[in-house]
Amino acid sequence: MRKSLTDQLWILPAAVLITFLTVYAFVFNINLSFRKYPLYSDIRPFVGVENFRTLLADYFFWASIVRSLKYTVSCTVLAFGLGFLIALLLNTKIRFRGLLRGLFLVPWVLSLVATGILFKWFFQEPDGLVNQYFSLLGIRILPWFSDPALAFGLIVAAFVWRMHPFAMVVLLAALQAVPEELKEAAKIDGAGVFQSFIHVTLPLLLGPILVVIIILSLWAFNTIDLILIMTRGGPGEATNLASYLMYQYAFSYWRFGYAATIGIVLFAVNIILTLLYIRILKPKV
Amino acid sequence: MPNKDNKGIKSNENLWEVKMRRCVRWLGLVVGVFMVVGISGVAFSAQEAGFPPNPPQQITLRLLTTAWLSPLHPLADWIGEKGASLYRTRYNKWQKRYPNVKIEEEIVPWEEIGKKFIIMDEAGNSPDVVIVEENFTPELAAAGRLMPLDELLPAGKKEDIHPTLGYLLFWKNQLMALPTGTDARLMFYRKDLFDQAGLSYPTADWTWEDQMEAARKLTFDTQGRHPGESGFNLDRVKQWGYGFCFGRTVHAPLSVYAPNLWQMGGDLVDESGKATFNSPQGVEALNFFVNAVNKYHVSPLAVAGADYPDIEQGFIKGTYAMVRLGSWECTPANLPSYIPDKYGWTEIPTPTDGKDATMSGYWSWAVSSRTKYPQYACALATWFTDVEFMVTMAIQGDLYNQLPMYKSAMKYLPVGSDMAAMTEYELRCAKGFPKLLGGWALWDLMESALSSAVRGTKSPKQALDEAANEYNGKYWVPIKE
Repeated sequence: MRKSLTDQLWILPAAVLITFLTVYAFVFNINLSFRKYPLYSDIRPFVGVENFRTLLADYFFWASIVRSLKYTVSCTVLAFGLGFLIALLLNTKIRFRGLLRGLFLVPWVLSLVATGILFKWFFQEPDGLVNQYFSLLGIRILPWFSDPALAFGLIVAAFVWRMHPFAMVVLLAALQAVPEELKEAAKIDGAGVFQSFIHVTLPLLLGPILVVIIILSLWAFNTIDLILIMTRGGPGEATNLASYLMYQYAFSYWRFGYAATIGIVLFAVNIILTLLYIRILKPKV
Repeated sequence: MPNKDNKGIKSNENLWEVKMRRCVRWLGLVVGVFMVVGISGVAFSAQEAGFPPNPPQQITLRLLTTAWLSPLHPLADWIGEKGASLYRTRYNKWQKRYPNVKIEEEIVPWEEIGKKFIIMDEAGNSPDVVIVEENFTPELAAAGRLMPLDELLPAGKKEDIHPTLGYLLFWKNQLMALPTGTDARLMFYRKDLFDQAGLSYPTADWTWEDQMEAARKLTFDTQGRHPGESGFNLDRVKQWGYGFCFGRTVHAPLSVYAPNLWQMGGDLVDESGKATFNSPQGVEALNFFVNAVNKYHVSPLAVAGADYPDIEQGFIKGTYAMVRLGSWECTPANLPSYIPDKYGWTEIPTPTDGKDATMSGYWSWAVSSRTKYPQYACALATWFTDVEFMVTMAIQGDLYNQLPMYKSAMKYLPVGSDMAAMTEYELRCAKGFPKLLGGWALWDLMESALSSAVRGTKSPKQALDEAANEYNGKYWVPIKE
């Protein structure tokens, strides 16, 4: 008991500071959302729920929410899937497993900004590296950043490339924690590899899977670095996600009140997404 | 009494005394003259209008700037060794004049400096002096973040600023910032590619039709076929005649589209700041670029997603024979470093019945309204925007992003030089950012519209109408000075 109290006392200053900063920022944001807060004026009136009313009728915002949800689903499924496949591969006894593990972690070392710059260089039009190779091979060059679908695909690809090592590491650790006795017992009972995986291994992985999916989803939904570096929301509005729209309102249009309103809505969406995953997956965990 | 026997010595002694007295007298005279001159000089300097005397105690001025306009750490990579050396010399002279004024510099990327200043000011932590792009000045002034400089400036400084471009620096008829130098959007062309095609170089009297005709001859696929010729393969083009950036960059509406709009007699906004680019002139101006991609096939679809560096790189690599770039490309760090002797520039081609127009942007020194030392902050700004210094730096450093913005500067420019020609062009027909509040939404909407039109997802008229109506309905803020 004394040791527990002592432990808590040690972390108390940091906890207070973090709580204060988080709560203060959140409360300040709520205050902003009830005001018109243009940074090009010194008049910042209280407007009640006007910002929320405007947001409800804002077609651009809802279109960006739909785009963000599409982006989140695509990124989560692909990053999770790729990470899981690599984790399964590395969980087997293959040659150079250690080296491969290191190589697969390389994307994780780069920041999202560096990843965005890399992708921009590779896919630059009309004669970036990829298009140059296409030309050499006689393949038609593609308008990577001018075509809405391709541009969207590129920001998904950049996210998946950078984030899948996270899924790989967590799931690999989880796979390696599955007791061998259970698998052997299943084998003795006549279960094949696939059946053993579905009925023995997978149930034990649901906890880590839930964590990976939640975290990947939150990261994807709140992505802004890649958009800022690679496309700035274009071409047209094809990659203008809700998080980037919030940034635009705050730091390009100087409308902090409206940006704060968007922030609150995005926060609510994040909470809903998290609760949804927990509700779907937790009973099975 | 002098000793007759020591007459010589005594005489010598007397003579020596006399000589000494004379020496002392002359020395006193010389010292006195120096003192008078020195004191006069100091007095003159101290009383030089706009420059207060050295403060009795040490003060610190905080300066927020970007790398290539940093007086303490001038970026030689950008402004060349000569430019950097001149900047350092100028700063050393400032230090000698004001030994008690310490300058603390914070350098941020140029794209972020306006935002950084606004955030710092909101936090009550603004620097004393800030170097900002001109389009931020109205927004900063409207929010009371800048100090009017009229009462602090030397006589004649305010009146010397070029009126057409300098209007952005005035708020309620008060001057809020001092401009440095400006630039101009030009048409650059590859001399070697023109030589290979056997074409004469572009001239200042070129029309849009001349440009498209030349661009067609300069565009060819891997089999050497030009647009319009049988078998021309749009997917295998090796060289394009014309490049421009219509991606998500402010260069799209301002550097590329706006000059064409102004040439047609249209404008981006009206006096109240409402969007007017969807006029018939605006549609015609946009059609020039849409046709370049979709009708004449002299520009790739890639321009719809291209940023300014993409076009610059494409020009250097020889992918584009003609491009729309800024005059800063002629500074030593840019094109002369990569393709010296291979490029040329000329004025932007005009429509047949149109008028000359180009776009110019600039940076300016402003003083924060929160500064505790307004006199010294303004003196610093005035020091580094001295006309003769700026022109000297521009000429000696080959800084084509520092074309003079002061009327008195023309006399310093060498007649017949590139710099004089560019300056004459921008003084004659350049326009800049319109005066807007919270107006960045205008550029975002326009970027989207321009890109959509070139990609063919919307007609030029539809794209421009939607963008203008969206801006006027949702983002437009009336300017109340």
